[in-house]
Amino acid sequence: MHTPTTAMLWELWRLTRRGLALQVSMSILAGLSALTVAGIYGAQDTAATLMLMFLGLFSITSLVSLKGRDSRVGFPLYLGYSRPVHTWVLAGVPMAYLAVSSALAYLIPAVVLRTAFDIHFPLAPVAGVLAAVTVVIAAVSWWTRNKAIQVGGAYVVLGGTILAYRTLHPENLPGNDFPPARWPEIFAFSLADYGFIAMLGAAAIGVAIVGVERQRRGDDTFTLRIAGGVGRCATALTRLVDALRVSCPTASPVRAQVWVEMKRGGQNVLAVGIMTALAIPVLFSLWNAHGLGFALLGTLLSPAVPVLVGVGSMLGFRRRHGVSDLSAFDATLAVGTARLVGVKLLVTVVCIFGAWALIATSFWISLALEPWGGRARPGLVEFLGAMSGGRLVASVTVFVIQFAAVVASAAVVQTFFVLCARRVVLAILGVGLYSLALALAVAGGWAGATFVETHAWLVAALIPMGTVYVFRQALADRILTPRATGAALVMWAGFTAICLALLGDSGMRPPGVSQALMALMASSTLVPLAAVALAPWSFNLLRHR
Amino acid sequence: MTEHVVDVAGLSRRFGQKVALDEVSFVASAGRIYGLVGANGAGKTTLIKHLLGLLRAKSGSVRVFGRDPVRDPVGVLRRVGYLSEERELPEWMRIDELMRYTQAYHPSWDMGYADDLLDTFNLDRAKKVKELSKGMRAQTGLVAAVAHRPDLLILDEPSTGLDAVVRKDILDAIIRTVADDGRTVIFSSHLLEEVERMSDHVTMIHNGRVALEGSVESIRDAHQRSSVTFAERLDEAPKIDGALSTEGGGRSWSVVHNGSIERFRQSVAQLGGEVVQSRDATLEEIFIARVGRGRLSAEAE
Amino acid sequence: MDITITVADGVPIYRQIVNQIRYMVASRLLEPGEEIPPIRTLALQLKVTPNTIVKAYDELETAGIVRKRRGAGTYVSEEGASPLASRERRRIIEQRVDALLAEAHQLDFTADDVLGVFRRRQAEMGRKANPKLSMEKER
Repeated sequence: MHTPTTAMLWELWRLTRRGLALQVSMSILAGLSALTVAGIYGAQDTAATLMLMFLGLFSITSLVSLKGRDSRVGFPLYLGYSRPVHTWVLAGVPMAYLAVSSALAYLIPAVVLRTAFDIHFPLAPVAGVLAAVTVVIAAVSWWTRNKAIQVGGAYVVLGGTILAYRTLHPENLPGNDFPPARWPEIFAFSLADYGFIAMLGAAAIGVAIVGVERQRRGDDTFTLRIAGGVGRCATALTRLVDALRVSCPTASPVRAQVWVEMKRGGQNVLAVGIMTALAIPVLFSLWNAHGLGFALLGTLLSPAVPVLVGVGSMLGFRRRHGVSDLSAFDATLAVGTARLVGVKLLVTVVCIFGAWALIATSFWISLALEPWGGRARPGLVEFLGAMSGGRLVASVTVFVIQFAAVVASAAVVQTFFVLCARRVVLAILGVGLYSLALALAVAGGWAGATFVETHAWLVAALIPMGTVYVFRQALADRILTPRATGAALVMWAGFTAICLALLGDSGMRPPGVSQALMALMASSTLVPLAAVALAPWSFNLLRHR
Repeated sequence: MTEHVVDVAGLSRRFGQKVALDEVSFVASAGRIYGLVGANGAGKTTLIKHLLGLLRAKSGSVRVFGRDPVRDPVGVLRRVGYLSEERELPEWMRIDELMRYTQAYHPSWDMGYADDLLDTFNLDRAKKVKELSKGMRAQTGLVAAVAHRPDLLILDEPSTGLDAVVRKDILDAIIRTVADDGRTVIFSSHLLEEVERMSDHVTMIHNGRVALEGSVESIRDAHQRSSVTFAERLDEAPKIDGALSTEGGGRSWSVVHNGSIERFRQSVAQLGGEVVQSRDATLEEIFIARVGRGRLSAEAE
Repeated sequence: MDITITVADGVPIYRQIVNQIRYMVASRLLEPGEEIPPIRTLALQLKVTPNTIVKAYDELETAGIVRKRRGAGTYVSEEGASPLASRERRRIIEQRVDALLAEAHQLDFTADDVLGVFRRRQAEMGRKANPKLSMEKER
């Protein structure tokens, strides 16, 4: 390391190499298996298109490993402020590194897939676009420490880019027609296109350098001066929020914790729900008027947004030095672990359903924009009307319970990830690879039905055994009281009864279903029950290591 | 009351290859102040985390108020006040919110006392924890740790990195906790003078083991610091019976030693020297003598 | 009450407190019947564990220098004031002399040499207007 630049590149490499390696290998693996499976079913074109999108999106995430080190907003390599280098080096080198690494994270899998299959993944054009997009995203998140301005800037950049693309290429609207056969024409970039991309990247780097220089000198307020109005609005908003401040209830630990979980995560979920609900009519009309594919995609994906926000932060782990952990403050609260986790999960689930209610309402109203030629609303009414009231309630109940079980399972995975990250990654990878191999074996006709059935039986047997084990552990550690266990069992019995009733009602038991599958389905109803014990038990392992 | 506030017996813990605690026993009874001393990484924080149930006793037992802090977190933590070394607090909370929030977990919370302390420390209740300076953060954490008048106050390195004013606030809180209602305090510290003044009982942990423990008086009674003069110049430190550390050169050496003073004098005389002056050693001298570099190799034998 | 504690010189803290209060009583800085600070106050002032103060007060009570009134604080003894004070004054001066003799022995002075020095210094001081021996506070 002879120069500051090489030292910085080394640091960046050390920070990102693991993520990059994982990303490239996962991309190649996913690409190879997806295209192989798709090849068997003759759907390689679709798979290739999806793969291109996947690779593109995935390569941008090389940024995450750099940002994720610290929860600090703004320039992530702030430790460099005290080093003897110019700011343009300090900000420019990481930018260039990210541009190159995100391009490589796409190029390597693309080249491998090109050689393995006869599909011509575009190289230079997509790599160029990705490099530029990465740099722009980095610039937007680095140039200021004000989160509101960051988000605003991101929208402006996104809108600007889309507009620019539409002006440059009015003939190519993505989302309508994207098979590999058309790739050569879609990605036949002219010099002007490359010039635009380069310009975008350079502008982003410039903005980032100016912003980082300001932060380095401890003067980030200029962003407020630029957007003085925004600043004043923010102050007014803060006052409003202060006026609406609900003070923490002190009557019981549970109420206080609900308050905390609402402030820490719940209100964000609801806020995101409101924002999404507001965005849906806009997206709908965009799709309606201009036939923009991404607008429809956005609408369809919108229910996932509150889930991601809520589930991501539900356990309230604090991030320090790049490691998530339960803070000592939380761990030493005088409250039982089951209650601690229960409130966290409950608040998350309730808030997600609240956000969904908002989104559903907005969706319903937006349907009035008649995107499907006026058939959508009556169709939905008819679909719901066909169900009896009892059946509707039962379906909703089953869905709510299953969703809660999914959230609880996510909590368990997060907890174990904090406890032993490497083993969790290996386990998930192992199970994923094994299922992939199984799927390939079945698809290729190398494995018979009995082989698959053996697996089904195995899993069907493992779930009850695991459930019993976890409950025994939880009872032995006094995490769950016998009373709580009894209540959980009663609720589970009710849940199973509803499930069976629904199943019998719909006559969804074709004679072809094998015994193994039936056993698997039956034992999987245990999952919500297991989650009742698993979530507090795993959290307890974290609390008392 | 025969029951101890804290009763740790035969506690061992390893993290991978490193032995953090090795057969540690520690007992604390009501109305006294316990000082934990030891080098960085000696195992003080590991012991404290066991008391709070943040670590599960893998071998040996931990009882606080006669209960297991892992199996009965509510019963134990309700009566404990804790200030961690990093003074971890929820960053986004305002001070007044933090107070109300902590109150919800502690039925014995005394809001008047909390308000008094906040006023004494001149803390702005509308400030968020993340906006606080190091000292203010320690003061806030202290209020949250003592305002429910805990039966056991545990402070992990409370003075580290703080100015004299905040250190005084913390010592005041410790003294009040013990003086007012005969409650118990356990604190770890690197400031040995502070430990010497503030504790009734000292436990010195070294490499995961209890190297020394007892009341401050008994520890100091057992350790002397003597100036020794020899008739001739010595090129290397003399090997004197009971010596823990020997420093100096030429004819005069200063020795920290324990055990019988008579035997020490005899041993010096046999080596051709004379004890010029003896006094009780200070805790700092004892600590350096026991934990210092020279001791490490001696213990390894 | 003006008490200073040092931990550097190896004298136990409770003993430092005992000695200083004894000295104050002997030199009438504390009058008979005067209240001495409650345990909590003195502990907060000196930044020492309250149990040390308890130990010091217990020892002072055993020696008859202070008297505890139940629930009403601790006071300097009335009755023992005069004979006690004189005994105490003698004890203090003896301690000083002991230390002086030890030092003299170390420096090869005989007791007579010391006495000679003592007389000479006294005469020199007498000339300097202030006949009262300025006595340094004992720890």
